This record gives sequence, structure tokens and C-alpha cells, in this order.
Amino acid sequence: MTGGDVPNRPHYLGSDRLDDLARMITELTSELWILKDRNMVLEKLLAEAGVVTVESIDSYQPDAETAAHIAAERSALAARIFGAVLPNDQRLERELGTVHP
Amino acid sequence: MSTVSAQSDTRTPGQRIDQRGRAELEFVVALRTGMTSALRSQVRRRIEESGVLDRDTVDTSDIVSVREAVDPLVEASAAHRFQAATLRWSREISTARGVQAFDRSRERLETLAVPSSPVEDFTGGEVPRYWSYEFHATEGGWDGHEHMGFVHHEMVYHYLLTKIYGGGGDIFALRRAFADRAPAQAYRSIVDLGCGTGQYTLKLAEAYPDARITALDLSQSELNYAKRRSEDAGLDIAFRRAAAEKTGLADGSADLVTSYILLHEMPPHAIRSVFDEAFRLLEPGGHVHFGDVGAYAGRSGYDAWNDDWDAEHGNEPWWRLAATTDIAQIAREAGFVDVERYELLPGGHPMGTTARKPEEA
Repeated sequence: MTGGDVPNRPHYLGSDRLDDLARMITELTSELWILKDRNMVLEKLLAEAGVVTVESIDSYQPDAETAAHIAAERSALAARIFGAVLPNDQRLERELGTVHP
Repeated sequence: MSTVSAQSDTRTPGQRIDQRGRAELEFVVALRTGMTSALRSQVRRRIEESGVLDRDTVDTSDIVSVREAVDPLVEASAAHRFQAATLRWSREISTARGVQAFDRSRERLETLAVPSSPVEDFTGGEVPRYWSYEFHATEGGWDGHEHMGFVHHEMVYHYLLTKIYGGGGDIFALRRAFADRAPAQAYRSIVDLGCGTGQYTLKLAEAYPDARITALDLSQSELNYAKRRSEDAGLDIAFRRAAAEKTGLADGSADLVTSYILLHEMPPHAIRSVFDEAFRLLEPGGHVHFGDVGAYAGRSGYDAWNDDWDAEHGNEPWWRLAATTDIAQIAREAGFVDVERYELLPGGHPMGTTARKPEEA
């Protein structure tokens, strides 16, 4: 094994914290792309196997129960992400379920 | 389940990684060829329009002054800072993710990576200090994984760099052109220093099919994959693990000592030692023929700045010294004559250095 001398990691965006955030966002985008790519592969293989078609996914209309389930998940995701800028006590209250989004 | 049998699989070994690895490396390509290069073009325009590098007065051999003039300008640019951060991210993750992709499919890929037997180690466990540096922001250095040679060649080079730098073309064609440019029509005994995974070595074998070729490097994993590649190509090349400045080969045993992009991976004192070693290895009248980075003095203001900035931020610790050291003078001091320095591509990078050992030496 080599690699004894590891240089310092440079920073570019004015503060180490901003560089860390940029790395996190780039990493998340990479992960998002890997999932999107996999989803496209899945759709293709499922269509080839006659399980579903891309058209059937695109034209799918959720029934009332499924629509409610999707809406709840969507609200929770939006609340978690945009709630990240809220003051600590409000975020904590939300996590504890003492307030509703 | 794949319907492609092993026999009919025309993919290169690096393309046989799993979906995650493929998507992950393709994302890096998209980032580098799309966003990063677009932002770099903006940065270049900003530098050129600013006038800080006046075409008529800029002295690119004084790279410290060039950096002092340009760095504050680009550091004030959000486009530069953002592309720099993204470029750095891609460099830091590329090899590591290639290694992970290899390990996930190790059972399948290892059979494509190993030679008939490992390359023999002639270093006696002594490797130069400069070699331990983590070049190119790769985790663990040249031998950070036992199959780093496969990962570098098949994943980083074939999967990423050919797409990022090659425009879909053959980025290895320049190695063949450089091999052809050696002064003699034919050679009998060629030594390739710092052969890596054999990218240049195999081009030498194409150019001089009757020559006996000895190729050496310090990385065991790169050598092993070079040997595997040469076996797959049906070639008989002698590989050995040894430093370019301490080959252990016999005096006067070669008529061509050559390398491609080795010298900028070592400090100037080691470059001198490599020329001395080449002189010792060559028979009288033999040629030394080294291709490496362009001298800053022959680059435009922007290119010199960009080479140096990129070298610093891509962990190329010796590039600046190689690009500002008088390589021709080192060749002459080693005893060579007819020393030529010339550019291999318009713009001054890369550059070749070719010289002859005198008949009377």
C-alpha cells in the first residue's frame, strides 16, 4: 500500500462549510441519477417481461386511497426539506408530532 | 438476467460493471463534459478579457507571477469557484467508486484482470519517496487496491477520460504517434520507463514489432494489468517492477530508452537520475525519447495558468517543476547530443525530448 502523503483538501466556496454542502449536494445528485438510471432500466426490463409498460405507468391514475397515501408522503417530504430552515424548537416540535405541517 | 454470453460480450472489461457503477461513472462524465467545461469556458473568457495576461508581455516561464495575476481574478468568480469544487469532487470520487464497482463484481472482473503470473519485483522493497504521494487525488495511491491497474485503465481511462478528453476519439493515438517519432526506422531493444498499464508499451509494440521490449514501473497493480493486456494481445513483453532511475538492467543493453508522461511524476533530481540511467542503458548511438508535459515558457498565458492551476488542484505535485525545468539541459548534462525539444500538439503540450548517446561514449 502507498498513499502516505495525503495533501490537504482545498476549499473553493469561501468556507469549509459551504464546500461540504456543495459536496453533499453533488453526492445527492449522483445518487439521484443512479436511482433514475435504475428506474429507467427497471421500466425497460419490466416492459420486456410483459409486466408493465411505460405507457401504463404514465397513464396511471391513483384511486382515492392511493392518492391520499401519496399526498401524505409528499407533504412529509416537503416539510422535512423546507422545514430544515426553521428554528430548532419548531423543527423539534414537528419531529415530535406536536405540530402539524 | 443477461442474455449476453461471455463469448459474445463485446464490451470492454470496464463496461462490464454493474448498473450502479455504470450510472455513477456516467454521471461524472456528464458533470465534467457538461457543466464543468461550460463554466471553464466562462472563466477563460473572463481571464482573457481582463487583460491581466497581455499576450505581448506575459512571461509564462514566471508561473508564480502568472498565478498571482490570475488567481485573485478567478477566485472572485462564482463560475470558477463552483466548477473547481465540482471538478475536485469528481476527481476525489472517481477512483474510489471504480474500486467499489470492481469489488461488487469482483468474481466476474478479477478473471479479466490477472496475468498468467505476477510481474517480478526488482525493487528489493526500496521505492523512492516521491512515489508514495497520492497522485491525481486517487485514494491510496497507485497501489491502493490490488487491482488498481485494472480500475485505472478500464474504468478511469476507458470509462471516464476517453469521454471527457477524447470527444469519443482515441486519446491513446498520441502515444502511437510519439512512438513512431523516435529517430530510427527500427529498434532491436526498447526499454519503456514508467509503463503503467502499458498504454504506451503496447503502442511501441505496434510501431516496432521486431523489437524486444522491456517495460517497468513501480506500481505492482499497474504492471500486473499491463502484463495481462499484453498477454491478451498475444505479445511477449518483459515486465519488471523497478524504478526508472534504478532499472537493474545491463549497461548498453538497449538502443531506445523511452517513456510517455513519466517525468512530471517525479522531482527534478529524479529526472536527472532517469537521464543518467537511460545513458547507462543505451548502447553507443542509441536514442532517448521522452514525451511529457509542455514547458510553461511555450504555452499561452491562459494555458500556462490553467496547466498550473489544474496540476495543483489535481494533485500533480511535480508538474510545475517538470514544466519549468530545462529538460534539454539535463539531457546534455547526462552526456546526450543532438538534443531536440518539440511540441507534440499545437499549443505546446505535450512535448517530446529526443537525444542520442554519442558513438564514442
